[in-house]
Amino acid sequence: MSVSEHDLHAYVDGRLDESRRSEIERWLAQHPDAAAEVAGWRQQNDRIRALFSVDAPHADDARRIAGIASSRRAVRLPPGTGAAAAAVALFLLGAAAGVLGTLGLATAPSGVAAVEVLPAAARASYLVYTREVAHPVEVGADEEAHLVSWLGKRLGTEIAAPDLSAEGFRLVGGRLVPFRGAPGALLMYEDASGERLTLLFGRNEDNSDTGFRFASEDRVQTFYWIDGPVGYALSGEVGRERLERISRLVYRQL
Amino acid sequence: MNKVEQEILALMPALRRYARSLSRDRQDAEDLVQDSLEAAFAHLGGWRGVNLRGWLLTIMTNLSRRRHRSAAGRAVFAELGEADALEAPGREGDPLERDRLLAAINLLAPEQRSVLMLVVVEGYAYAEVADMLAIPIGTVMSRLSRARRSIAENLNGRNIVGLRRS
Repeated sequence: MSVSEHDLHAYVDGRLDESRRSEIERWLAQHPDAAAEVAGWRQQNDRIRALFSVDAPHADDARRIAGIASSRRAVRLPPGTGAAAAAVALFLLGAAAGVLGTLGLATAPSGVAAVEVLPAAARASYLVYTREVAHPVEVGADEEAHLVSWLGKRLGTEIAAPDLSAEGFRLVGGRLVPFRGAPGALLMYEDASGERLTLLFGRNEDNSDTGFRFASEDRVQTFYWIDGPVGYALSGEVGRERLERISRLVYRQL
Repeated sequence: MNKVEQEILALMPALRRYARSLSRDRQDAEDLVQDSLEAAFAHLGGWRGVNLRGWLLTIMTNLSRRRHRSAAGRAVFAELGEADALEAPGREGDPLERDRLLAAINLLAPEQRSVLMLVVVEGYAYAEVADMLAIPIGTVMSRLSRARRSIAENLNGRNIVGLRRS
């Protein structure tokens, strides 16, 4: 009788019919090494099943599913706009790739300090994502706790979303962005007029803090600074004075 | 709530279990469930209308693999203590042994881990797993075999020491 390894796994997983199973059992009785291995796999199965048992449903599951479903419906486009929307999406993707590529964000520029790439990275993220209508963020402010714990985890350090309501801005949400070839975090804020700000968090390996620095190109202005393991950059088009005021508000809360 | 949403709601405990079986800790598992739900609703048009659970588990498997790839290089041993976080309260068994099993599972390559969990925990037949993951059945068998041998070796060897919070 020939017994393949496939048979042994199928035996362990209860996938054999009655007659084949008895054949395998007789064969195992004469092959103690194989029998020992198979017994080990069986025990593994039992232990793994015990480890991952089913939880009770969570109380907020229905709300959560309805939330995701309705947010998908909200961005669904009317029929007939499909081709146009696809063209716009392709254009945006191309634009994003272009901006990120030009600024060297796609790969980690070795030997360049975080503080040197922060303003360009912040400006690129700001330009790409604040112009997004359908999906400006990956995770919305309605799930702020999940958002900051997720982004913090990717970034490798805890983060918080500063409260900018004193300046009229509320959190829209956030997303994961590349920063020097590693995960960075981007939070987006919006005021009542639809004006948007982005706050970029990037990992800093250099052992240096900095004070506030300012960069400006076209209308986009950025305040940025390094505080321990993280570099921060706040970008917007709200004027230098107001942006500096908001940056100080951010700094005080981080 | 429409019919599909109700069906997904009924599957939530199963989705959460599979996410935990692929993840290092509960937070990762919750993130994976959330990402999978969002991907599912974004691609509902791509669902063939049969076997919703299998379709959702396939989405989750793919997302999990991508996530592992992006997390590659992360220290493995530093997080073994996280095994505690997966433990449900009041479960029988030696907690040290459970930690060692989890540590051995965490050492599996993601593609071996998902095949093992689909077969052992989710109860799919080999051919179903091959279909779900769009791989030949021989690949299913070799991944299953490698997963089982790797776990056995790591449990029998001394290269894993369960870390406990005292």
